[in-house]
Amino acid sequence: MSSAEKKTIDLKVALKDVAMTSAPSFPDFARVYQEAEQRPRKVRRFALSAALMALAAAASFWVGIYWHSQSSRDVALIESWSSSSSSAPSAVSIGTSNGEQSQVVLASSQNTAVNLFVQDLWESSSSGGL
Amino acid sequence: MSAEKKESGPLTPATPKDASKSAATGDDPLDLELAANASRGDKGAFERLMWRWWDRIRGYCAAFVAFDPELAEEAAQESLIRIYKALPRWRKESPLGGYLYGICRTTSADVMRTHARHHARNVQVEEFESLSLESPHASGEANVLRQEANQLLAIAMQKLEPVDRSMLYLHEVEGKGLSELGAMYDLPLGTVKSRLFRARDKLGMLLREMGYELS
Repeated sequence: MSSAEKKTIDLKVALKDVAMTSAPSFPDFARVYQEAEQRPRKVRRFALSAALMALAAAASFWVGIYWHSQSSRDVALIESWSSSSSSAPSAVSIGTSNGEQSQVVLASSQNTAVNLFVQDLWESSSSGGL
Repeated sequence: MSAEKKESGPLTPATPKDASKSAATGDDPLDLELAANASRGDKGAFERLMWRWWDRIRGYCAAFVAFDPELAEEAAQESLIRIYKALPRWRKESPLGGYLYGICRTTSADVMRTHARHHARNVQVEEFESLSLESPHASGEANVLRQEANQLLAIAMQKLEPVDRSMLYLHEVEGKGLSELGAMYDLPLGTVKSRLFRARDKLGMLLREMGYELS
């Protein structure tokens, strides 16, 4: 063949030849079944861990809400108690500053039980206040 | 072969309805029977179907990934896995060939995305020339010349878009018509025609630069 002569390529034959040379010769069915069985398990595992994470997030949210409500629960208890008590405290005042409970003053001149309860709460509080 | 391979029972006999369906979709009736049985979990039928389709699947995947052996193997094997999982969802009225090639196309595209470095690889024209110069023309052996031509064709094919490559492969090697390709790739007939023309034209131009003509 002279150098000037153009060589020809039969596209159909050459394409098939190249494809068959570069492609794998045999299918691996064992791997097909193994992968097909493993993938749903992986998806299920992922879904389970996602559900657990969501549950943990929801639980921590509600625990946070509960924890946050603890500071005002004692006051609410005293209020409900004082309202049902026959001898109510002479004065109950709650002062707030910038949305935070910065000051709580509870006192009773007539009901010793209320005073004792308030004193117990005061002493049990780590921060020195309600 | 899998140790869990289920015994392939007798195939469900083809009905006149199946025959008319295969005539409408252009699928082999036996392929339709095998696919129907495979979609019901018959591993034997699945394997027989895949053996019948193996050359088409691996050739198509290889063409899509620009004849990279590593990618072609991954794409073909992954295609089998996806076909196995997707066959139960195959709608019997749609062409089986289009369904299988569609899975192969998506899989090959995913494999290429995963190995983006292969896709990004560009071969310059200068490299074509050097390849031509280094090739053993003088040997005169037909086999060597054929190998060289194939190597250059593979390099030239890398310059085409994956979809154009695979479309050209289906048209030239599998003999798919324009309307079939249009349905398969969800493209208008004119678009398929022009894309094929442009792909072939570009391929011819690249090969001419290397001293080859497309027959």
